[in-house]
Amino acid sequence: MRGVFLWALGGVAAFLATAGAFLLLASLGSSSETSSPIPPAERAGAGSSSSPALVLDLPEERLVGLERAPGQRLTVDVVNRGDEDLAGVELELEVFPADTTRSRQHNYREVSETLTPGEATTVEFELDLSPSLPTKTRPPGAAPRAREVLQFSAAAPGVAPAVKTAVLAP
Amino acid sequence: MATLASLAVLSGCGLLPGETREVISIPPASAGSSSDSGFGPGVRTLSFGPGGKGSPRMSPSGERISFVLDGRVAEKALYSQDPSLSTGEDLRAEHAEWLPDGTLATLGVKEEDQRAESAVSRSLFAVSGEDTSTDDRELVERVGAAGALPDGGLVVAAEVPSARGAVEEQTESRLMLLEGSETPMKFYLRGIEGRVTGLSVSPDGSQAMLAVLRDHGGGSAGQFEIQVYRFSDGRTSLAARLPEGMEVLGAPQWTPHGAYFVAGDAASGAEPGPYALYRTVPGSEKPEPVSAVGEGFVAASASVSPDRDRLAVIGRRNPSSPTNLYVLNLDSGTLDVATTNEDMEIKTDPRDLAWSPDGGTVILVAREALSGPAVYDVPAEELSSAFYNLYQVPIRASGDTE
Repeated sequence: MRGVFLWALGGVAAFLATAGAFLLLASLGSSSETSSPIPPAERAGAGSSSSPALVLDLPEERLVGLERAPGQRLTVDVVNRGDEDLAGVELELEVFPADTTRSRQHNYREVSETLTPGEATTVEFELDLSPSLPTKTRPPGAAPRAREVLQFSAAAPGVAPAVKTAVLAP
Repeated sequence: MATLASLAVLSGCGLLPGETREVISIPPASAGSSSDSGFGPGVRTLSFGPGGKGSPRMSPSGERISFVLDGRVAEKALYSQDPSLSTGEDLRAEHAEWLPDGTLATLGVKEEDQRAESAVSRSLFAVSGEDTSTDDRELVERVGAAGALPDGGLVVAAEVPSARGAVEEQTESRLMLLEGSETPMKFYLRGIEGRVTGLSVSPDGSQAMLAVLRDHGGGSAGQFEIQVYRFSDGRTSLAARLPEGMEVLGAPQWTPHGAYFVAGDAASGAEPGPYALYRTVPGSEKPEPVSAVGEGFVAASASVSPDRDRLAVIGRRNPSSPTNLYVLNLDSGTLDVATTNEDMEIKTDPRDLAWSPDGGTVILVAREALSGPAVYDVPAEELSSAFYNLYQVPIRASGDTE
């Protein structure tokens, strides 16, 4: 009886060890070069398992009233969700057309004071959202009022940077 | 006991058929990128980031892909993310095709010629593969159309001065064959009356199917014809003549059942509302609408598969339904939808549709339809659906069943 038990125990152990080895191989195989190195992007607010210290908050509603003209005002919130002070937070905004990689026409840069844990600050930008593709430089097939991209990048020493990309549709 | 233990071990090792494949399932490598496409399962994103992209073409080996990015020819390994640019900024590329030696030839307009841009001002250039404009070599001027040979190479139709010297000159075109960037071009001496706007080559490479715009003079816009050109003696035969006012979009597609092509009223504007799928009918000059796609089907572009038994069609079941990629089985006449368009804008230019060499996938260009502003959590370079990007759609073989 004891022998049967030992045989069964040995069999189960061998099964678990072999299955574990296969699962390890499977996880290694999934990172082959044929996989996409860039994970699929999620719309903002879709949720994330990690909780970064430096966070940008840009609700889509703030973008609704923007016009393709100079003097457009837009605010973005910079939040410290970490446990320590964040000093010298830099916030950069790039504005460029979606239908070409040739030119990035507008760059804006703001530097914030120290953010204490849980503190948020609102940064306001005054933007020139005039159509950034003059007719003579418009690539073939580009719509007269192409989509415009606003890319916000926040950085502070010692924490992971935060990024928000807003796409304005005509 | 030993047998019992052996069975337990074997079932863990996966040596018993039909069991362990379920226990240890390796996820497909493309699963991560498929879910973001907006076209349903299985569709894979091939490019990311902003930029005007179009005219995708897979290399004969299927390992690389070329496309036009902001008017420059770009190429990359199929699933890598960093394309290299192959043409300079002094050339506005519109389209590129692979040559048998692995190089590319591109149709485009030189910067100095862009002021006088017209439909026939394009030239054919050999592409060196280096990011220097000086290596772009002009091969043929005034190119109207180009079509790939089944075994590699390119047939080009270019306008030439009319030899007749008439007062009201009819435009004349000549065909040329390019088999490699270092190979001299072959010229077919017998000309074609009219301007060739699209062409495709027969599977055996002996004939070309042409869309030709014939100019009747007197200020008329001309009339489109579908012609068959025989390379051996330069003879042309009429396959179909379209009513005046109708135009052919792209190249007529050579199939065992005649030429399939997209045509419609030329005066109806940019949207492909009135365009439909037609085919030539043996013994008749009048083309007929392809009934297999259904009444009311709106077609934008079509491309025949490498094995000539399926036709990929970008279109809509009816004017109010979403644009999708459909595959028409030319033998059975069945029409399958290959994409589930959730909220995507698909480019409808005929050049923005391409088969893979093995006939297993189709590449198209699309972006997410946005009705308002959208905010994402990643840099623009990592976004796909917000901008026009390349998507690889799996296509079932004609004999497969669900």
